[in-house]
Amino acid sequence: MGRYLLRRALLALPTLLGITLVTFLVSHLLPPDLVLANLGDRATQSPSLVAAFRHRWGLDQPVVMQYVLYLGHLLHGDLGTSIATDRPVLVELELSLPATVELATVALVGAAVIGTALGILAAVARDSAVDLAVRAISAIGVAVPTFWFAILLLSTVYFRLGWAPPPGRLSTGITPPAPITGMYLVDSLLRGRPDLFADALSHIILPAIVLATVGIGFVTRMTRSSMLEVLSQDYVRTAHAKGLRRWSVVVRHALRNALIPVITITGTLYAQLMSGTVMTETIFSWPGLGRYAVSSAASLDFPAVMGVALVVGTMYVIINACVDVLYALIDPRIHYA
Amino acid sequence: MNVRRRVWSGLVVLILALSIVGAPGSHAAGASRSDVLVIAKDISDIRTPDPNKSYDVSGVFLQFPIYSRLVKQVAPDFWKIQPDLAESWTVSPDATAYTFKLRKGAVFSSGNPVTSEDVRFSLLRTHNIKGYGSFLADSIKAVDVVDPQTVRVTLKAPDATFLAAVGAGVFSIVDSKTVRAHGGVETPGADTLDKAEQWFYTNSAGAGPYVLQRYTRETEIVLERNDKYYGAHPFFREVIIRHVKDPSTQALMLQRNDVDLALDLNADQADSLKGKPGIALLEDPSAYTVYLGLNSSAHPWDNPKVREAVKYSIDYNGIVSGIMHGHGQRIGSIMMPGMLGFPDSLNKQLLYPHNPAKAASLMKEAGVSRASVTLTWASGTNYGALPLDRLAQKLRSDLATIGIDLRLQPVQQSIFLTYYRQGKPETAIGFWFPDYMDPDNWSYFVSGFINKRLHWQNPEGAALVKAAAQTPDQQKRETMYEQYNRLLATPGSPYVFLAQPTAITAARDDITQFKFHPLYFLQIESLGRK
Repeated sequence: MGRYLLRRALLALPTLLGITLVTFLVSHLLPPDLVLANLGDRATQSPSLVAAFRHRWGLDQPVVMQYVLYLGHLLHGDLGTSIATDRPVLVELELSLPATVELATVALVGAAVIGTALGILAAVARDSAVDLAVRAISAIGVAVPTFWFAILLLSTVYFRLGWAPPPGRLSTGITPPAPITGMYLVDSLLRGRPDLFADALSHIILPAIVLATVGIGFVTRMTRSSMLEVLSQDYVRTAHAKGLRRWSVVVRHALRNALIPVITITGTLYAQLMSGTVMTETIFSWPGLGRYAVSSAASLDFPAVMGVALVVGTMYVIINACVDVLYALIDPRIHYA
Repeated sequence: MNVRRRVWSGLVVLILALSIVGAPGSHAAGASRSDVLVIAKDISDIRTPDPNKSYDVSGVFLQFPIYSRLVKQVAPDFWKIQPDLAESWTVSPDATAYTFKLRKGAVFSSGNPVTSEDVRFSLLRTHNIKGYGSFLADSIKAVDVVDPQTVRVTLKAPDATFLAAVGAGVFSIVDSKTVRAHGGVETPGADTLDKAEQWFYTNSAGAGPYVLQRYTRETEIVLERNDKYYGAHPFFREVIIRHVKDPSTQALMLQRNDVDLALDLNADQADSLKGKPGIALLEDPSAYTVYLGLNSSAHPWDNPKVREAVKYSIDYNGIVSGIMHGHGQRIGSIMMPGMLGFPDSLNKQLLYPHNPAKAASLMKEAGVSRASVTLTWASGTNYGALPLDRLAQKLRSDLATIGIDLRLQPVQQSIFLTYYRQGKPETAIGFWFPDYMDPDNWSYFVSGFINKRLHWQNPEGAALVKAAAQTPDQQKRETMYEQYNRLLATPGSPYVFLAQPTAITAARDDITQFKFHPLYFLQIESLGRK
């Protein structure tokens, strides 16, 4: 397993290199001019400011040289400096990445638990009223437009009923916990502040529900169809014939074998959530990776855009590796050599 | 099994309980925040909290309550320059040397007195740090400390607008001792040597009514009252600006009393809030002025008669009442009406009537019966209460009445900026937003800057605004800028002036003393609560 993971890590390198190359080319060959788009109307009239800007961001060098320099910095763990804020991209990501990881994880756990449960229910009670209801729920979950659902939740649960706090990661005037991981739910507990934990939790619930709803749809469908296939297998019939209790057969014998495709889709879902969800982040004022990527792209802040692309790419690689490891844990027949 | 089930149901109950407990906590804060002001605003465009670098719209909003400048301009006479840290000043007859006498007794929040060395440090730091707003300091040749209370600024060339310019955000006066101690540098080379920026995220070094507690990108700005402020003490002890991107979310938060002010409402939200209990709508003229630019090197705009015809073919009132829901007014030239040289009366005089018959006969005179031309704009953008996408549709249907087919070419904002600055669009929806409140800041429509993008030259106009910028006499300048505005409104000019949208602010009705400012939205320090 160790050698397998090492090989995976090595194979990931060309992927990540490719990501840097593509984002670099896209950000340097697009029609918008970096100087004209970043400097103000009148600053573009000042030759000395334009020259300083070009020099500052290496634009006075040939494109190939710029890319080589970027890679050189990258090898030293330096993602470059954001053109917009003049701060290291890594420092900028320290705010948005944990915000996204926190939200994505809460949403994914919700989606995986609820989606698997619903899928099992539907498969066991195939073609019953329960099955129909679950299928309807999953169809709605997949089909509902995220921004519409987010606004709907906000205007009912927060605005009309007052059951949830206003958008944001914490209530107004509350100082965030001193950063350890940057995730408020984790940091508040590590710092021994249950009050902060409760506040952060109450803020994450609505956006997490929005993101989880889509996920529940996918996970439910996959679990149901996979379970149906497994439940029709001979060994399940044998287990029933041995006189085992019904749920024991479902959970111990069937579910374990049905989980592989469910894990695959859950992994994909997690990776997608990690790349940020612009609509949900915008409506719930969540300073996540999606918003950062969009605002950086809009202002042609190419070091920031490349930083986001690299981070998201790395996330995909890590999550895919985790999924593969989970396969082996769940199904002893799978070996990696 | 039973134990496990109990643990799980216990966990579910705990999570539900916490989520419900969490909610009233925030509402309790809302009810008891008598001396805490909460503002909802989109602050995503702030690039830096460093006052000598900050140039974007929300960045200036962040600087104003924290830092003082030498002079200030307040509502409603924005063209009038009033003392702030400088209690008086003299200008050399050729407008190249400005000598400021500082007020006595002003101190920074650190307790250090405000001296002419701080002024020198701040102005030169802005100049040498080469930030986005540094071009405003390009004209500075030297800053000399005459004595601790007197400072003299020498310019490279005569410039009568400099007094208004030092009221701009980038000329915020910082505490030189404190900023130096945290890596601040004002000498040439500051763009690489200065290391103070990071410090400004959680600190400030100003002499303004508030001090910065913290600024977090796309999250919040927290300000605390500065008890050492030399002016009248503000009512609010703490001001929290929460980043809320979505205008409809801002409206919801205001109605639930979770915020006191919402600053980014569009016309639709403003209309939906009208008459709601506990809410007051405040409307003030914004500094945005919007125009249609006709590239005079492109057919059919190369024909002055066609340009004139367009000016009569547009249903301006339909734009103001239909698209902007009445939240704005028509303009006859580029300046914000009320500026020096552009009184309301002159604005009214310069408006073109909507006269389709006259437009048609002008087209006949021009000998153009049909033409097709592209219209480029930054899609999805709003200038105040004016949504550009709807404006583009409207212009297309209006111009169709005189046989001109406007082919719509919406592009992303940074692409629009690039295209327009390169002078590529055949037709463009443009706007102007001033850096500071001097008529000269609107003079670029003949000076070879904006007009170059539309391939139009007017040497006479260029000479006029150049002379006006060097004329210290206010009355003479007033006449010159009047002449400039008349020139922009002539039939053959490549500009079709459309509208000045209003800035709409919604507030809880217990908020008092709301004073709008076109550059930084509101004077936070004057606000109070009933």
